[in-house]
Amino acid sequence: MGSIGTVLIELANMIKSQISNILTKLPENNRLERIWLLAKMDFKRRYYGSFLGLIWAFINPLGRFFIYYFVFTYLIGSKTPNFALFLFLGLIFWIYFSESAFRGLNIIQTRSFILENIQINKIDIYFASLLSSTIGFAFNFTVYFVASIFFGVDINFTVVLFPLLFINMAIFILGTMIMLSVIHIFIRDIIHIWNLFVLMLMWFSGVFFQIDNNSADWKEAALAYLTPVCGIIKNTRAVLIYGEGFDLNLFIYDYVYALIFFFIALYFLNRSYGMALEKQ
Amino acid sequence: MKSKTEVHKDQVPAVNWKERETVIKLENVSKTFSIIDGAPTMAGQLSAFFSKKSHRKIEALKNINLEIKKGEFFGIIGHNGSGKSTLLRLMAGTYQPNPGGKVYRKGNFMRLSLGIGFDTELTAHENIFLNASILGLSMKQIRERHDLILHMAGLEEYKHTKVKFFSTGMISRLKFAIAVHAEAEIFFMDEFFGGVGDLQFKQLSESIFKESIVKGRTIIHVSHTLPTIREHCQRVLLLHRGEMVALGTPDEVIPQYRKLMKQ
Repeated sequence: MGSIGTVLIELANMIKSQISNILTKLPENNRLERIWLLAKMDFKRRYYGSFLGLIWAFINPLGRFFIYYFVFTYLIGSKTPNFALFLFLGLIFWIYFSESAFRGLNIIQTRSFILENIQINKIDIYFASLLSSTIGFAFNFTVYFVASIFFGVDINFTVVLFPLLFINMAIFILGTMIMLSVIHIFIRDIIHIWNLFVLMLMWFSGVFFQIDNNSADWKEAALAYLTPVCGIIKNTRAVLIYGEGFDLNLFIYDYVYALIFFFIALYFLNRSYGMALEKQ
Repeated sequence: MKSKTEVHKDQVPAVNWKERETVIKLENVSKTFSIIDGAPTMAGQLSAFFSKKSHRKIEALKNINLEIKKGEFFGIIGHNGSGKSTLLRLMAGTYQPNPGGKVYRKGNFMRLSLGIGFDTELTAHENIFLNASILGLSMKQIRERHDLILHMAGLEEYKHTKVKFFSTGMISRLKFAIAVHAEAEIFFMDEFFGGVGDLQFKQLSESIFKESIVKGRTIIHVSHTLPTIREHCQRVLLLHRGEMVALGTPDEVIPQYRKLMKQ
């Protein structure tokens, strides 16, 4: 356990230093530095005070993976090829989305000590929170990558498409964070509503089983278009696990959906931001 | 009795304020808060929402017109509830004025109040980086000034202590030191100097106030402490029930405030 812990900490430090290196090589940009600093502090803060600290960033998704893997393989009997990777990839994307969105809910309250006291571009707070979640995602994705080598998955040229899908996911998450934080200004109950909604969404996002947008069953096809999360997970599995190109229609649809959603959220944030600080 | 290092406003260089750039301008600024009274239960909230009797409007500020120049030490005085802190929050952009009112502000700012204003789960060292970065310093600049900030705040020994363990005085000193070294252009100080720091820190603060005019650092100071207002402010605004009662030099405005206090 001790040696696994040491390896994980070394891995975490390596990822952190790589990101720092990339940022220091960029031309001096206070805004980028500020967003990175806010994200780093936010990420650090999540694991402050706990005995295992940063190791939780790995244990949490791995723990969920083993539980769901056990249920779907031994109790339900999934026939999906390469199911372990299929599930893990779906889960890390889902955790990325759900945790970021939840933090977005009360971001104006948790960051009020900054927003009220120092002049800052409000959107930077959201960028930083997203970046903080992305650090967590990077840890999980590293574990996925190691696991995919272990399971003998061929690294296909389609892997180059992955960044496009990841950016799509990040845009949608950012939009969701902003929208939830705006709704939370007016309706505090949204926290409880969101907890139920996100549980429902998890089962409709193709985390545990493939949802086919080309299915003859219109209900299944419709589910694939419910949120971009479903389509992004489906396309990511196609390019990373199965070495296929992605479904172009779904890809375009998800990008347009995420961008429109993001701009609508931004519009509402600009309209209600003044009220947000007064009400919080 | 004044200490030797104490600096009176008369000792600072003469300035032609008319020629100075305006950094804060308020035009027809009013602020009304809408409040719904009701018990914190679902039934209480629902009945309050639909009952007109539960809806109240509080006019915190009425038609404020004001200009503050770069480098000015501007005081705001008035009774409790006169609208001083609301005015400061409007200037800082935390509150929005009623429709028709305009708030213009030029320059980055830091609001200094006796609250927390820091991430209490982070250490002094981390909060210095976070706050100074938001104020616009690069990492390189922060690293260069980091020790000076800790030294000014007298917190060298508490560099890696979480801010939640700090006293109010320690937090205030740290905030002030960050604001000074990160070169915030506007300081919004809300009752900030009541009991903050020892004599040495106060003397240091006063010398900083003196150089503010030269450096173009604007200070807007809300306070009940008249000696501080008299000592440093070039102009003072007296607020009463949300209205501007007087605007002028401390010698003109403080007697009016005293008169109001007696009423």
